[in-house]
Amino acid sequence: MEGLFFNIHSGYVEGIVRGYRNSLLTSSNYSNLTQCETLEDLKLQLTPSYGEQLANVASPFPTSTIAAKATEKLVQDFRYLRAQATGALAKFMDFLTYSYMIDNVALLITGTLHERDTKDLLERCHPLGFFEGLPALCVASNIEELYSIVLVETPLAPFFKDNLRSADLDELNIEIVRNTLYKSYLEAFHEFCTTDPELSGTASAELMSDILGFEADRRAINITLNSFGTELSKSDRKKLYPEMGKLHPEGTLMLSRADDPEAVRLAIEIVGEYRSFFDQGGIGQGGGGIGGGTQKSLEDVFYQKEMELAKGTFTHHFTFAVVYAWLKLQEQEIRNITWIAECIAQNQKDRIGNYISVF
Amino acid sequence: MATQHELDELQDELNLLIISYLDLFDEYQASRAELSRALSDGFFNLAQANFNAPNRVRYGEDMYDNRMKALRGVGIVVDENDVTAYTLKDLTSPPEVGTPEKADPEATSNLDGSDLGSDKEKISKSADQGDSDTPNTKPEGSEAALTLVNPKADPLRWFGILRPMALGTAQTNFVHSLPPIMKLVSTLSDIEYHEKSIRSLRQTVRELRKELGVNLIDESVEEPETIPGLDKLSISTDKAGDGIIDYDRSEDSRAAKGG
Repeated sequence: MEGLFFNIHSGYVEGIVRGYRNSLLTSSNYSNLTQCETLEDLKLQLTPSYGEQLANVASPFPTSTIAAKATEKLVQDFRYLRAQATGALAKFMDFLTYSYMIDNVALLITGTLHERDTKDLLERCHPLGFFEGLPALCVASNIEELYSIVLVETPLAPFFKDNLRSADLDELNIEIVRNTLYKSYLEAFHEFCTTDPELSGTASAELMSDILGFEADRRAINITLNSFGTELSKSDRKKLYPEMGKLHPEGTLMLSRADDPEAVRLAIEIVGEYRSFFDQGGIGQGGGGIGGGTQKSLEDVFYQKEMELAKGTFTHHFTFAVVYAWLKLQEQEIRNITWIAECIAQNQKDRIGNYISVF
Repeated sequence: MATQHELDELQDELNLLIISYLDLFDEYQASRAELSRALSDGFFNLAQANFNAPNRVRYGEDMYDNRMKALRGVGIVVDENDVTAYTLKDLTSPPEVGTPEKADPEATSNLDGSDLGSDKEKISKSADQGDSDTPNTKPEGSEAALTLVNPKADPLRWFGILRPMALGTAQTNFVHSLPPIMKLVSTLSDIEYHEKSIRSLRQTVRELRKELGVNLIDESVEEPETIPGLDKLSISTDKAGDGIIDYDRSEDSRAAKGG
């Protein structure tokens, strides 16, 4: 019965997403890509998946063009899905765009702080995170203005209002705004997935709870590691950790007191599955090595885990989580292609296998 | 009247000059290798930062602020032998520390190879050579200028505080590619000076030999147009008899691309 009711509203979208998932690049595709000698060869190899977008790209082209064209496809596919979605799925997909909105807000206010051209900045914004009031963000000079003039009218307003503090917009505060918004976003998304009448008690709630919990833990660890040696105080840092995930509350408390990577290791060791992460990945190592067999970076280990979670989602039926998983897998595919393109362009073939592939 | 003893002395001097000339080539090649390595690592770390970008920001030329002003400049010192020494200067330091010159936008040249993003440092060539006696233009200034006096001017801050570590590493790589560039151009100037000295000394030796009537037959063998084994650099003689350094431009562009 569950499947019957699910399919009335969301079966078509789920079917389309499973089709999209089948067109994602597999290990053998990546293997072919890594054999390419030039970007022109790479473009040729990508024709089955990205032929339409890359057809009019004239040679020579920079690696950023490949990333931009692949993103174009992602946006096109997502918008098609969103147009088909109704009810809770539509709301679920809107939630997916909020993270892009947060990135765009941070990009725009950081750019404004550095007196960048607004038009130039708007071109750099992610299309999935575009909203009506975005260009007006440039007028805000402090956080109160940012909220009262612009964000109050946007879907991001609920994430913002409880965390409002009076401060000027400098690099530190922008970083705090970005991470506070993201924290509230994750918590709100988690709440939506677990309490919405259409989602509560379903596979979607269970899967999304795991995925968002992992995302929250990853953010907490990354914030801690990246904050060493910066102006971010421990008390400010603590406020940025999402109150969810496997690390919350003991792990995040330990993270908030951490002064060095070793303390971070101790904090995350309380979660069994994270214990091996530090052993696998060197902190801040430039050269990762998923495919190459060399030392992985911690970021690579996180991405690998995220992709495995996303892959696992497709083993379930009648769930919205596949949309989230497909989006993440597609984003990773774009990163992988860009990485391979960079390695080809820079003739660094020894590290070309560092992409992350789960199919 | 010239003597055999004078000739021997001049020939010894010539030999020493040639040895020092070859040492300079060695230094030149080492600097080229160092520069190539730093740029290659820099671009690679930038790619790594993009691969791990947490906020979907693409680091690189997309994010470059065109109004960026040069953070580091070049001090030029010309000594009595016409050998030019180039040193790195921190242009963000307050006036009382040194005499920071205004970066000339026309003269700025990007030495990291392309218009790549945040971590690129611009070198502004000082048009004014008269400040050669300022403290910042001492050779050790190059290393000191790698750390900015004013950390707020650091372009890494464009990307917020919590940016990927690989981005910082890429910036360090690019910044460390600057001293080899300074060394490279200084060495080239020194090589040019050595060429001139060798040429004039050879001329003197040739005249002295003619005067003493010794060993004139194999003169052409002793004075090759190009030093064998140094395919990247060759000495050619123009009509005025000055040495000109020709080096492979394509090698430069490859190094600039970082790979």
